[in-house]
Amino acid sequence: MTIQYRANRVISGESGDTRPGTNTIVDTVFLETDTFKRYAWNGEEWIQYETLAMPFTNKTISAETNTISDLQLTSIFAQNAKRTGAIVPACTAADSLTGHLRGMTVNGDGTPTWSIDPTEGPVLAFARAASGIMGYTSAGTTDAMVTRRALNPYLKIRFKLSSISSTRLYIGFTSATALPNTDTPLATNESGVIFGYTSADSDFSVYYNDGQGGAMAEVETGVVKDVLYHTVSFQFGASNVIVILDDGADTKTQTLTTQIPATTTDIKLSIIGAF
Amino acid sequence: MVLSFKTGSFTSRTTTGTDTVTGVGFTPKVIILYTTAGGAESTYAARFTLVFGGAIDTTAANQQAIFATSRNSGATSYAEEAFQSASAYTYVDDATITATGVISAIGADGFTMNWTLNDGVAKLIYFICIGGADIISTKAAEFTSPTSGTTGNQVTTGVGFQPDFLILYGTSEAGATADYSCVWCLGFAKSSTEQASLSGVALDGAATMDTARYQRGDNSKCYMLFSDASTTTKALEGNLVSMNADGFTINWTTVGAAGASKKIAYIALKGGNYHIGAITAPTAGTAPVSQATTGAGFQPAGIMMLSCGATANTAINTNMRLSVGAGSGSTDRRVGWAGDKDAVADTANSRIMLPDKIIKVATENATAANTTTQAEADLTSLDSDGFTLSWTTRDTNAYEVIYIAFGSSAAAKTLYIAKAFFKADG
Repeated sequence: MTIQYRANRVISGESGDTRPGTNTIVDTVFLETDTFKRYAWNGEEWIQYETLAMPFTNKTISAETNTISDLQLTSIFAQNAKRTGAIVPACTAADSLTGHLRGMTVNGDGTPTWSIDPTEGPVLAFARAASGIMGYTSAGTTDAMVTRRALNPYLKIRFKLSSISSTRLYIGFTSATALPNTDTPLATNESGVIFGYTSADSDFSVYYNDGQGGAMAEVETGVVKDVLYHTVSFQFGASNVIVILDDGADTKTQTLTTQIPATTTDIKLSIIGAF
Repeated sequence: MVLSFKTGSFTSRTTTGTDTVTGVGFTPKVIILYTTAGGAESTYAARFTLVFGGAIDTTAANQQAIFATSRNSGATSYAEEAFQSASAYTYVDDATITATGVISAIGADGFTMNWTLNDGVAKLIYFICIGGADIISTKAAEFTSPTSGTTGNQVTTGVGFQPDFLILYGTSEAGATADYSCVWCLGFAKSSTEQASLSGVALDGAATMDTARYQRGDNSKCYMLFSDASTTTKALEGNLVSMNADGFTINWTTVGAAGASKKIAYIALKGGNYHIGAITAPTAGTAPVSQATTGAGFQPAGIMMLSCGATANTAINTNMRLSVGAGSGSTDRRVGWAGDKDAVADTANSRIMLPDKIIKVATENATAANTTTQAEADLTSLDSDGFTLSWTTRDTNAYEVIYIAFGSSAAAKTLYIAKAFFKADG
């Protein structure tokens, strides 16, 4: 960027710009527009003497290491205090739901156990030999995992199912109290967005419906279902739902704009494998 | 993890004392004994006889047996039956228990039968042994059918676990007794949608032979007893409603006076994989006709095959016939068959036990050696999703054959969650 000469012996530019040197008048000020630091020329070098306090809006923190300290919330009820929850498996035999995910219920067979995956680290495992459902569900109407599109919910999960033979994988949100062990995860009167596969699918797919009486819609990601770890994210917004599988390239990103849950329809999080 | 299945045979001693059976290859957790004949193997003999018993260990209370016979008695029928507690094998003569076998020891390669009562006649006995780590729990016990007219659900408790599979068997006896009747039932159940039953009756003291059979391979019934006074009347019939945490529930749709308060033995198993189905014998092709059956959902370790020798239907059929076979492979299979003709002036019944077949359909004859084989099959193989038979004899009738596949437990499927993060406004 080219430095700019301003009034009153002020020069502006970015931190990487070349500044004037020897012939500069002493006490000339250089303002870095990207860092808000101010320097003064002492006849030999530019000396930083202050950093302006500037509002931090619309900025991207993209460096590998950043330190942000002394943050203060202006209000504990501000929109930056969002409902959050996580599954970060700890090295215990029990589940490790934290935050608002604590409201979820184990669905199906037994208590999850933990194991160490050589690449993923500690992982939670639900296992069953007899047919049925395993995983987490939000069956209640008021538990913590009930949300709605108007609240811009976001979910990201890393998962795998050990068999694709006659199995179903359903991860997502439904207005029903539970996801079924059938190849129709969303009925005509149910709202939701579900990622996974039915026993008949060949690819990972996204199923969605608005509960208005029509059959659920389905779109394939183009990724053949397998028993490997994958990551999927859901971002619900004012006008759409974006479902991203892994790197999101091509059809691995699905932006759903029609037949999606209404903004005020309650939907519940479920993460299940079934067969 | 595995489920083991083996068939075999032994000939009983003729005095009290023990018979030791080896060669099973594993420690049996369930022993099923059955006999349809009393003479030499592979040789027809007169008389319809069924002995069926089971044990899960050496405890007397965990062994039950039934006996049903229609003798080669000429102008007047002679029928006998028994239900015996505390034994895995029983034999009757003149409505009196004359032989009692108790499983007295179980070892790593077989079992021992202690004859506490012996009638001096050697008996060829077929057995089925089931074992392996997949069999988590077993229970052998007995219960009583409801009182007359009490239809509806009957809940049997005390099993100690939720069964995955049930074998039911009984006669028209109300206690551990013997009598002049020949009424029997063998039933099998896995769930409300997988169950089967086979039943037979021969009236005692009839001048014209009066016998019948009934088979349900349509997954709708698990038990039926004829009336001991009428071969056209069902005295007791029910279907499995559910397996429960401590037992099972049977819905009795018929409970007549002749079927009320009757002893029913059961063997319950937990662990392993089971499938109950029905096939029809081929009606075309030059024997041997190969028939592959799929749909078990797993590779069986063994199968039982049973038939009353009729085509699939829900009606009572005349003539009492039964084929009980089992096998774990092409060199380990055997079948017992017996039949008793209806509506003849003199008895015409016959039986045979074969070490090289798994199912037999035949028509009895007054001269046992003249029994006609309608259809007969050997076990070729146990396959990834079922089994293959070789019908060495067939005719043009589509005989219904019930099968029960026994297999190892399915491998567990696992859902893994490495990480998850959720956030929402508000």
